[in-house]
Amino acid sequence: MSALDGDEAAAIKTAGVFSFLREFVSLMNNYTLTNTEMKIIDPARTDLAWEFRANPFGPHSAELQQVLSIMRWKENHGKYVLVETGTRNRWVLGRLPKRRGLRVEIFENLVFADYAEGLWHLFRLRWEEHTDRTLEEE
Amino acid sequence: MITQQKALLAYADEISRRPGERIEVKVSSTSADPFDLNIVRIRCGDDGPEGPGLKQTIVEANVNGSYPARFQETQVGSFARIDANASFSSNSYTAQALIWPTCPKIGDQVILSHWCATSQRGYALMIQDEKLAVKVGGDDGEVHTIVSDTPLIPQRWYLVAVTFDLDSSLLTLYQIIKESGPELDKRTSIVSASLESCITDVSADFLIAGCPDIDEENNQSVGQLYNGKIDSVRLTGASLTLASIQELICTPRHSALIAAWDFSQGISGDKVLDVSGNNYHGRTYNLPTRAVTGWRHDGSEMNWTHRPEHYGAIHFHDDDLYDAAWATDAHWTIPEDLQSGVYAFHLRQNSEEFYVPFYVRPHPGRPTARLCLLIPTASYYAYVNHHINVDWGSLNEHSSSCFTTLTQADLYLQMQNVFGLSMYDDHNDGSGVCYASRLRPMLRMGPHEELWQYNADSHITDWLEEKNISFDVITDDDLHTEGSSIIAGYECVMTGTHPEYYSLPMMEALLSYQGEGGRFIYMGGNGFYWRVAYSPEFPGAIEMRRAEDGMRSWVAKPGEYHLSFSGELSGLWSRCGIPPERVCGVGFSAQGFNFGRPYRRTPASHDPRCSWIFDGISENDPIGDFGLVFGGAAGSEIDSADIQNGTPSHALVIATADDFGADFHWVVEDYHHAHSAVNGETCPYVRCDMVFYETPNGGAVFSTGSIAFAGSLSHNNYDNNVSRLLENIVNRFLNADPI
Repeated sequence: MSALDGDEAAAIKTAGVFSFLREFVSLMNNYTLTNTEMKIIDPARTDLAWEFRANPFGPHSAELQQVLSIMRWKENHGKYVLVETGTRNRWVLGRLPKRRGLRVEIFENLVFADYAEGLWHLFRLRWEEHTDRTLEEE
Repeated sequence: MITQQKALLAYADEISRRPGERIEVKVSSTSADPFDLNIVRIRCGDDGPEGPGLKQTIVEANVNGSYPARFQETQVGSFARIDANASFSSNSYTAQALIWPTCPKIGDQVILSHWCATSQRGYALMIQDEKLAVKVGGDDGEVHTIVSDTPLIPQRWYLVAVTFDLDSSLLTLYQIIKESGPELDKRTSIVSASLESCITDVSADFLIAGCPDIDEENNQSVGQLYNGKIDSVRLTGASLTLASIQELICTPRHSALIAAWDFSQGISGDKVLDVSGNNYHGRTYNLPTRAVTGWRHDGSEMNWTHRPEHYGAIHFHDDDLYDAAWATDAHWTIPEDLQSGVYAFHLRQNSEEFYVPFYVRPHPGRPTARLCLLIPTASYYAYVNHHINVDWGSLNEHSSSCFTTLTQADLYLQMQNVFGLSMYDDHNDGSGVCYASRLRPMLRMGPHEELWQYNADSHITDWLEEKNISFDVITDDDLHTEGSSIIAGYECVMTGTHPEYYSLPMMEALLSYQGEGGRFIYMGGNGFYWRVAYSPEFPGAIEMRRAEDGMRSWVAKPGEYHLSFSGELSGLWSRCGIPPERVCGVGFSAQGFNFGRPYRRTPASHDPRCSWIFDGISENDPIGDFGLVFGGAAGSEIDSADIQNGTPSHALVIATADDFGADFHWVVEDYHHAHSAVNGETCPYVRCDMVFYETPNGGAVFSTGSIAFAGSLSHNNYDNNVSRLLENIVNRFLNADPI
C-alpha cells in the first residue's frame, strides 16, 4: 500500500478529524477495490516454470508454491481456464466473462489431449501476464 | 463443438420411494423431438479414463418408452402474492414499506405492486435506475412514472411510500432514510406530481417484490423482481400524511387501513399474515430468506425466536428457486419385488441424455439386507447446481491448488439463471444462499459427472456389488423423518463419501443406533459438519446458515445464524454441541484437491482389538498409494482424531496418512490466531486418521476419514489393500457376534 503524501496529505490535515477519517476510509476503499497490485514473479526464475512443467500436480517446492499462489490471485474477467469437452482426453482453452449469465469464450482450436498439457498452457499464459516474458520451451 | 446449452432437463417429485409408492418425473426440452425414458439401476457412474466405467441395468418397467417432449417454463425469483380483492382498488391510497435494497443499480425492481399486466393499469412502487419510482397506469390508458430525486444507497433502511389523493389528484412518492449518519440525511426525498387520471377497479393480485408480467404468447409470470429486504408493508385506502405513514409502521391501526403484513409472524413457513384484522393473508413463492434482521433489529437479540419483532423482514432474491413446478410427464409405481438400491429415470433425446436419480428403500421394519447404505441426500442438495468453479474465482484456485477447469455443467449453469443456486453460491445481490431444493433439475447429480458426492458414492455401490455384499439404501431424508427406527434393523450402516450436512434428528438417529450396538462405517471425509434443518412446510428443501466459523463459501450476517425452518442455531456441528468426532471418531482437519496420499499402519493397529482389520495386508505396505480420486486413498477432504474435540478416549488410530505438502490446508476453525504454519508442510494437524473403536452393546465404529478412500476400491480389479481392509471390516461388522 502506498503512503498518503503530497497534496493529498496536506489537504487532509486541514480538514479536521472527521473529514480526515472520511477521506482516509474513502481512499482505503478505493485503494482496496481498484489499486491492488499484483505480487512480483521473478522472470529469471524459469527453473520454477520447468519444475511445474515436469510436475503440474505437485507437491511443489516452496518457491514454485509461492509463484503459483501469486498466479492464482487472478480476477475472473478475462481469466483463461481449461474446459472439459465431454469427450475423453480432450480439453480446450476457455476465457471467463465478466459476470454470471455471460458466455464463456471457448477456443476450440486450442485442444489438449493431456490435462497436464492444458495446465502447462495456462501456466505459460499467466507467467507471461505477470512477467511480460514468454516462456519458450527448453 | 461446445454448445454451452442443454436441450433436455428433468426432475422428480420425490427422491426416496418404497415399493408400492409412486414417483413422477417432469421433463422439459427445447427440442420438439420425443424422448426415450428407461428406469435404470445404477451400480457405477464413473466412466472416467481410469474408472470402473458406467455400469447400469435397464429395469423392465411399464413406464419405459417414448414420450412427446415439450418446453416447460420456470418461474424464478421470490416474491409474495396476496390474492386479488376489490378492497385493494381504492380511489385514494397509500402503499408503504420499509426496504433495504441490495443492488438498486440492476434494472427495474418492483417493491409493491397492484398492477394488471394486460390492461397496464394499477400502480407499482419500484426501483428504477437506482432511484425510487412509482409507475401508475390510470383510466386514461397512459402509464405515468415519477422518480425520486436522489439514488438509494444499498443496504440502508428506507421508509418508502406512494400516496394518491383523488381529491387533489396528487401522487406523492416518499423516500425517507431510516438511519442517521454523515451524508445520509441527503438521501431523503419527497416528490409529487399531479395525476389527471385515477385508477378504478384494477383486478390484480397484490404482489410484494415483483410485478405481474405477460409475454407475447400471453404467458403470465412475475417479473421485475426485487433484491433486498422488505419489512412492514402497509396498504391504506386513503392518502396519508407522512406523519400517519410513520405512525403506521409500528401501530398498524387506521380507519382506512386495508392490510398490514407482518413478516415477523409465521417466519418458519410461507405465510404472509395480515394483522389489520381484514385477513388478507398471502404467501411467499420460491423461498425468499426469512429469519433475517429487520429494520427494528438493534443487536439486543440474535435469535429470531426470542424476539421475532426484530425479524420482520424478508430478503427477496431474483434468483431464488424452490419448486420449478413443472407438469408431470410420466409416473411409475415401484414394484413390490424391486430390490432396494440406486435408480434413475434415464432420459435420451437425440444426442442428449439426462438422469433423474431416485432411491428405492425397503418397507419399514423389513430390511432386505444386513447392510444399510446411507445415501447423503442432504449433502447432494447442498452442492446441486453449484457455481463454484466460476464464481469462486481466485478462492477456488487457492483452495484447490489448481488452475480452474470447467465441466459441461459449469458452462451451462454459467449461461442460465433459471435453475437456482447451491449453498456454495452467492445470490445475484451478493448474499449467501441458505436454502437448497431438489424440486428442480439437479445438474451434477448423475453418472458421467465429476467424482464428487453422487458419482463418487457410486464407487461404493460398485464395490458392494462386486463383492456380492447385499445392501439396502436409506436416504438422509428418510433418516431425518423417521429417525433411528429406520436403521435399527441393520447389523451395519455405511455412509457415503461426504455426508457433510446433517440435521439434529439425523445426528440423534446415528448416535442412538450406535448406542444400541449398531456397527457404523464412515466412508468419507468432512462429515457431520454443517447443521441443517428440513421443514414439513417445504418438502424437498433444506436450510443452513454459514454461521461464525468453518470453511465457509459465504458468511451469514450477524443476527442471522438461526434457521428460519426451526429456530435452531446453524453453523458447524462442532459449535452446536455434537462434534463429528462424537459420531465417527474423527473431524474435518484439512483439504487439498490435487493429490492423495496412502495411509500407513500405526503401532495401535497391532492391538488385538483391531488387528483383524489388517488380515491379508502386508505389514509395511502403504495402504492406498493409488486411487481414482487424486491418486491416493487419503485425500480431498480429510479428517483426524482429537480427544479434545470428542474422539472417544478408547478409540484407536489404526492408520494415518500425512506428508500432504503445502497444497493441503488446515481447517480454519481449528486455529484461533493468524499464522503461517497451516499447511501440510508445517502443520501436524494436516493428516488423515483411520479410526476404530467399540461402542456399547457389541457395536463398533470404523472411520476412513477421507473422501478419496472409496476411489481406491476398484484398483487392480478390486484386488488391493484398501479393498481388502474394507472387506475385513464389512465382514466382521455384518457378523452378529458382539465386537
